[in-house]
Amino acid sequence: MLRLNGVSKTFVTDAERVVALQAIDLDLAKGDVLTIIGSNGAGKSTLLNLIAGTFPPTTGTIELSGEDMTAVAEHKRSRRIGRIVQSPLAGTAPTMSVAENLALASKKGRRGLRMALGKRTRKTFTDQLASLGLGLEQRLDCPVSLLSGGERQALTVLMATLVPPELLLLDEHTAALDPRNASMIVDLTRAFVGNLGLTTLMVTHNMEQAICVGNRLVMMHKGEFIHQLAGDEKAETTVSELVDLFAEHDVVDDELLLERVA
Amino acid sequence: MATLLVHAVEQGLAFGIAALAVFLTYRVLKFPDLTVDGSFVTGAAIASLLLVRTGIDPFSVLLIAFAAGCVAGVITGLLNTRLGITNLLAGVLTMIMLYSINLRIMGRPNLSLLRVDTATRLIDQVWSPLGSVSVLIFIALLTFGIKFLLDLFLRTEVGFALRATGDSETMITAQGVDTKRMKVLGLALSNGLVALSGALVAQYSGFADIGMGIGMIVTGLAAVIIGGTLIRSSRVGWMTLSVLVGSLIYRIAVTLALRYGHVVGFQASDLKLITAILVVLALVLPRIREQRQRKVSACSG
Repeated sequence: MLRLNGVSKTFVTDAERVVALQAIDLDLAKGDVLTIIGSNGAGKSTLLNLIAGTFPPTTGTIELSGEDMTAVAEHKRSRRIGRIVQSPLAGTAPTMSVAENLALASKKGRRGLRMALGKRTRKTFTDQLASLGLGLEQRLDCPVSLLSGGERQALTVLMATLVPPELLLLDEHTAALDPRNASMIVDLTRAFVGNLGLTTLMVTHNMEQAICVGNRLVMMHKGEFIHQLAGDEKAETTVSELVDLFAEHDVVDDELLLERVA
Repeated sequence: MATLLVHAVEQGLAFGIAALAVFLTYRVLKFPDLTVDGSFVTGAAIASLLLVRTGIDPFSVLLIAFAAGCVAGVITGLLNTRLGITNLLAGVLTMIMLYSINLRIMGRPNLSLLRVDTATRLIDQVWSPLGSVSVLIFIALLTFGIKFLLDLFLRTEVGFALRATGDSETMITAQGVDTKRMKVLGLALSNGLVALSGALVAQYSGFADIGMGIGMIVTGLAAVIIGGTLIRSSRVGWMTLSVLVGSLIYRIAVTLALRYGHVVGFQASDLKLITAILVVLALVLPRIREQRQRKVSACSG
């Protein structure tokens, strides 16, 4: 499904060279849900950016369903790869209405001079929004800028899965939300990913999320995979075991320390 | 006085097409495009040249001007998206290029259309039963026709993608849209409309002049801002209507200022200064009001 062969990324500025990602190999099967944890600067977001095509890798190749995607432009990749980022502001067009945003997401690739929003599509959107259970189906014509962060991110989740992508990238998509909204978004995400059987990569800072979501887990540090868990082994691990693993690799991170105290 | 007002409305509508174009770049694409100062003249210059030198009818001339404006917009778009020149500078560069090109087209700084059958003059003859408002009706039909076409376009799939490009590039890239192409398309369309407006204004006024485009962006912005404060809506049809209303109010205000401004010591040449100051105020006032409100709520909370 998704295969990374020796993918690395070095950022070069006038002053320094920063190795964000060292030769990474990864093989995801269809339907795999991989959670990624790691300290700040571990290379988690860089990894997702490379897969999404935000910038090209320094070395290595990226394959999707056996097709080499390494040189394919970001907007072309995004027709097959869905992506949700941390900021709820980034995933939606604020001055456009809820229905208009959904219309944008329901059409990937070639766009023509057909009307983007008809009566029938509005009906479909109403039903789909109702499934979120947030009452958004009553606010179809409301500009997205008037929605709360949680509502916007829920809409983004719906938009990312409206046309089921081959691969879904979640980049700390609950980190900017309060705990209640964060768990609401995680539940929604799990429901959509489960129902549609989406192959997914999910970066998170939340250890518990990392354990309870998905069937595989990798721990990253300094641009490398330092530990991988799968299946039962992953399901049975605990937060404190993960924190101990980090400690073995001398990872010092405020959030990790907080997890331990808790 | 009545004729004066009719003329103001005619001009408001004719310049309104350019204001719609400024709305498209400034409000929809969030791209402050200065090309318009040049492309307005390009439209006027091409229309005048064709009318003086060839037998092409004055209505087709409007379409040819539109096409020429599109080319100007594409140049700004490519400078910005392919060569990485910032949006303001890309517009200024094209504008300067157009200054030379416009002089080449006209061959001199001013072309008169006094002895030519312009669109407005033809309409005046053909629709003579309508009397003194025939030209007004023609310009209104043309301007509102363009407004409805623009509304329709902004509701298509491509139109949605264009609006989203101005709203959030991250978002629309994630939806599989090439934002660079969208910007080029938006700039082409906008400058096409500006050139059409220039071609219409030249025919209406009976001449094309190399300086007639100076401050076009500010005039357009004035219309967009005045209209936006009067009619607040997030619906496309209402937004474009507000631009035309803004353009009308601006032209009427200008006409009155030119007619009666001497009472308070204004000269015709002060017009651009006053317009620019008004636009500065219109841009700054909402922000000051917002800050004051924030201060109040901070104290009460």
